[in-house]
Amino acid sequence: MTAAPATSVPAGPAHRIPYVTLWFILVGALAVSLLLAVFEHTRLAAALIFAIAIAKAAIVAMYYMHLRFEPRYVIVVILAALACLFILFSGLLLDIVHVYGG
Amino acid sequence: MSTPTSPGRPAVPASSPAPYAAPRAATSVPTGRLGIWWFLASEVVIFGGLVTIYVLFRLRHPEWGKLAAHTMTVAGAVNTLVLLTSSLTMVLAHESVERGNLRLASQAMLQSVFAGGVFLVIKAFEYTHEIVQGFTPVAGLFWSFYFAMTGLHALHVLGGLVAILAVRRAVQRGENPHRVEYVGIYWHFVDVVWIFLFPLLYLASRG
Repeated sequence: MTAAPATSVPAGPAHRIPYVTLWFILVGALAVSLLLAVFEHTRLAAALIFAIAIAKAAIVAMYYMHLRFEPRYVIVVILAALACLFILFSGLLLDIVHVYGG
Repeated sequence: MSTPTSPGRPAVPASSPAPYAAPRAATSVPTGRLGIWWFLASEVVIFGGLVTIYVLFRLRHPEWGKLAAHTMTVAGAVNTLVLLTSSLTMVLAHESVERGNLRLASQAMLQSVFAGGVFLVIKAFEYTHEIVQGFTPVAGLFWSFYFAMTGLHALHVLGGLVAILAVRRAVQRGENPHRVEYVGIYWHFVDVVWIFLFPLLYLASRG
């Protein structure tokens, strides 16, 4: 009986993704966030900074973590965690409003 | 003679080569990758819980903006750049594994480890600077949140470095290269957490 090899030979990248280009986009988004924080101190600027953070996180999750190419099952797992988070947030929101007032 | 199987998994003859990464019959996702995603789901609740509670308290304490002015924005921005770069080298390590170039993958992983080390050194410098000025974890609720959130994140960075080094050592021997992707997914998650912590604690708080 021949010994089975530990791994088979990989067939090449499963997806062609421009990782370096995406890195430049992420760094550019970081620069925009910094400029907004330095020169603008409005609520709109704060909202834009968070929107940029969400976009950056989405790029890393979808393309670096390959979440875009995962089966729906994996996305359901993450959504379940976010649902738990929403329940935690909702419960604590009521508690904090009760303690600190509306 | 076949190897024993679990329900739903086809029998693998002992003479057949082992699969590159055995997918589960129910989800078609390799077991290790599925495990990482389940682990990250729990991490989403941990970090998400801290972040949401911080946001709730921040909305009730607009004066925290003045306290946040004492955080080192430049250091935080450099750390963001460092982690983004470490994510790039980590995903390039995975791509190298897929192309069969384990030597290049090992080099790229070492670059990620170096970047992670730089992140921790900068973080230590920040903590020293802030504590010397009297901004300790017990100096107030804002600083409790700041040290708890960034400290927990730094511990995850440290754990990630250990995991990357362990996987890299195996890859150098040609063993389990598929684990590069799994540890990479964890490392990118650490980056995603910082992508949210940086604006929360360093940028938007100044508003």
